[in-house]
Amino acid sequence: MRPDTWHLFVDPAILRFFGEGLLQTLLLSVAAVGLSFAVGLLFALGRLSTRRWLRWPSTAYVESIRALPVLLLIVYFGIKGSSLLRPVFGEGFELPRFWAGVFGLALYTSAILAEIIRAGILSLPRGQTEAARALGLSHARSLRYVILPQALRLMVPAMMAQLTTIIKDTSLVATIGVAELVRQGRILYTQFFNPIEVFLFIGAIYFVICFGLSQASRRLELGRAPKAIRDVALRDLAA
Amino acid sequence: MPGGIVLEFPELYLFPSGLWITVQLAILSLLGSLVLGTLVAIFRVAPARPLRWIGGAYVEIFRNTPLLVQLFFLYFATPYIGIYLGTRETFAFNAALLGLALYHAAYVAEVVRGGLLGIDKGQIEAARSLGLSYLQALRYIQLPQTFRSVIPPLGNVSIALVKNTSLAATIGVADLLYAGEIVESRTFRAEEAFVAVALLYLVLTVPLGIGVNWLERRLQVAR
Amino acid sequence: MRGQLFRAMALVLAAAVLATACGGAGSGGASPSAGATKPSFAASSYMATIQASGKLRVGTRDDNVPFGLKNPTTSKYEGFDVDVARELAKALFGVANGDDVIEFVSVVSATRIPTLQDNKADIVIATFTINDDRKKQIDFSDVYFRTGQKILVKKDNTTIKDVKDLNGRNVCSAKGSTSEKNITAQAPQATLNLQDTYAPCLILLQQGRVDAISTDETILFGLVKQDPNTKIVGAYFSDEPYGIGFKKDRAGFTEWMNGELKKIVADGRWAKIYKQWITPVSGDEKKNPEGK
Repeated sequence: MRPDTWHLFVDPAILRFFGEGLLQTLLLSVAAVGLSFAVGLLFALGRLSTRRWLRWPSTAYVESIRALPVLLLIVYFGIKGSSLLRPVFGEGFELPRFWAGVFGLALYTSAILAEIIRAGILSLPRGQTEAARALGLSHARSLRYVILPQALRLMVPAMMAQLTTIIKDTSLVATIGVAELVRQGRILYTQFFNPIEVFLFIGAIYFVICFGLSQASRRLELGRAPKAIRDVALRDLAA
Repeated sequence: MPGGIVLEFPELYLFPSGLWITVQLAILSLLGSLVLGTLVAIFRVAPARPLRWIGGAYVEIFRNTPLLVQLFFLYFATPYIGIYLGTRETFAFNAALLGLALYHAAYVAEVVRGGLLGIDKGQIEAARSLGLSYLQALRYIQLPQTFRSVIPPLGNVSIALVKNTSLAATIGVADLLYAGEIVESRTFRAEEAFVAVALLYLVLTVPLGIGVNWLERRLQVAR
Repeated sequence: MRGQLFRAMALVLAAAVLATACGGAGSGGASPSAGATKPSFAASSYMATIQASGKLRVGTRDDNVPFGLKNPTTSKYEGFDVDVARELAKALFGVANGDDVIEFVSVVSATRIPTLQDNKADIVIATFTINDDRKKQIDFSDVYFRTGQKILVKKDNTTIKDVKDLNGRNVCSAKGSTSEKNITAQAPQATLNLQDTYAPCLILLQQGRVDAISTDETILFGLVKQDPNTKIVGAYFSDEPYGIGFKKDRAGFTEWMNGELKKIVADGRWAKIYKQWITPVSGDEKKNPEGK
C-alpha cells in the first residue's frame, strides 16, 4: 500500500490526466454504440429476411462474431486495421488507434445488437405484422412504421445494459495503446508504484458510471426486457 | 505465403498448449463461479437484511467494474497487501482463475436468484409448515427446482466465460490469445495467427452454443 | 417516436465523428511559425510529403524512462528519443520549436513495426534495435545510440552475475522484443515472464516474483532511476544499435535523416541531449553514439 500517494488524487494535474483518459473512454463508448447500432440493425433485418442470399451470410456473420472474444477482435484491428482499409481509402492510409478500438468493439457489439433487435422483433405478436400487411403496407414500410418502433422500445433496457458493457469493454482498448482510463492509470502506477490506490480510484469511477446508468434505467422505469432478449445479452456479456 | 506458416515456425506448439490452458481456465473458473454465485444468490434472498445487502453489494461491485481492472488488481496489486496468489509459476493462472470466478459469480448469482424467486411461494410455506428449517427448505425444495429453470441461462453465462478467459492473456497467462500474440510477434503474420486463434475459439464456443440451444428446447419450463 | 429515434442515432453518429477531431491520438496544433527558413525538398521525396501534411508523426514510448515518457503532470512527451525527434522535426520544417510540428503516437515494443507499416507514424524512435529480421519489414536510419543487453537485479542479490545465471530463474522482459529472444538464446533454461512494457516488470521485481529483468542497458537505467534499490550486473551479452525506424520506400528519407543525424552529432546537440537524459543514470558522458 502506498497511502502517501493518496494526495495525488486531489492534484489537479493528475485529475486532468485521468480526465483525459475518461474522455477517451466515453468517446470510445459513444462511437462504438452508434456504429454497432447501425450495423447491428442491418444484420438483424438481414437475418429476418425471406431471401436466402441475405439470410445465410447474415446468420453466419452474427453467429461467428458473437462466438469470438471481443479482445481478439480489438487486438486484431489494433495490429492490422489500416491494412484492411487500404483498398477503400487508398495506399498510405493510417487508421488511428482510437478507431481501431472502436471498430473492434463495434464489430462485436453489432453482432449482439443484431441478436437483441432480432429477438425484440420476434417477440412482437404476429398480429402486428399481419395487421400492417392487411392495411396494405409493404414489407419495408410495415417494418419501418409498425414493427421496429415497438421492437426498439422493448429493447431499450437491454440497450442500456449493453451500454454499460461497452463502457467496461473500452478498458480492453488499453492493450492496443489507446490512452483511455485504464492506460492512464497504468502510466501513473508504474511511476509511483501505487497500483492499489490507482485501481481503487479507477474502479470507483467505472462503478459510479455503470451503476449510475443502471439506476437511471430503473428510475426512468424503462422496465425489464423480455426474457428472450435478456438471455441473448447474457451469452454475450463481455468483460 | 499463407499456408507456409504451418511448416516454417516452431512457435506453433504454443497453439495447442494455449488451447489447453484456456480450457482449464474455463472449466475451473466456471466451477468456482457456480459455487460462489449460488452462495451469493442465497445471501440475496435471505431473510436477514444485512445478508441481502452483502449479496447485493457483491453483485453490483463485480458487475459494474471491468474484468480487466479486476485482473490487473489481482495480479499487480495484491502482493502489496501481502496476498500472494501462488508461486511464480502459478501466480498468473491463479490470479486469472480467481478473477474470472469472482466476476462471473456475480452474474451466476443473479440468474440463480431469479430462479429462486420464481418458485411458487406456496411450496416454501408448505415445506416450512411441515417442519423443515429454512436451510432444509432451501436444499430439498427450492434449489432442485431452480436447477431446471436456471440451466439454460447459466449455459449462456458459461459461453461468455469461455470468451472472457481471453483476458488472462493480458496478465501473462499463456492461453490461446497469448499464443496468437506471440506467434504474430515472431512471424509478423497477423492474419494467419489470429484466424487460427479465432477458429480455435469457435471450436470451443459454437458447440457450447448449440448445446445450450438444445438444452433450452428440452428444458422448456412451463410457467 | 421513430423519428426521434432516428434523429437520436444521427446525432450520436455525428457526435462520434466530431469527437474524433478532438478525441483521436495526438493534439491539434498550429501550423509551423511562418518566416523561419523552411527547407525545400524534391516534390517526390517523403520529406515533402511530411511538410505538406504539416506534422511529423513520431512513434515513441510513453513509459520508458529516460528515452520516451509522458509526464503525467504536464501530459507532454520527454526523453532522449523525444529530443532527437524534436531536432529532426525542427530541421524538416525549419522551425525553432519542434513541438509545434510533431504529433506523437504512443507505441509499445510489439506495435513499433505495425505502427509504421500501417502508416500511423512517419518515424518510430523508441529504443528500436536494428537487426536483419526487422530490416526485412522496415528501414532504419544510421545508428543514433549504441548499447547492449544487461541484467537488472535487486541490490542485495548475489546469485545472478551474468546471463548464464539466468538459467532456472524467472526473468521479466517485454513481449515481442529482441531482448526476450536474446534471453532465450543465451539462457534457454530461464523462465520468461513477458509483459507489454518494462514498468510492470519493475513492480514484479520489487515484489520478488521475478529474479531479474533483462533488456537494453539504457532501459535498465530508467528502471534504476525509478527504484534505486536495484543494480545492473553482467557484461553486455548483445550489441544493441538503436536506429530510427520508418516504412520502406520513402523516397530520399534515409539520406536526409542520416544527414541530419550526422549534423546533430557534429555540432554537439547529441552530446547535450545525452548529458541531459543519460548521464544522470549512467554516470558517464558521451560525444557520439560510438562513445569515442
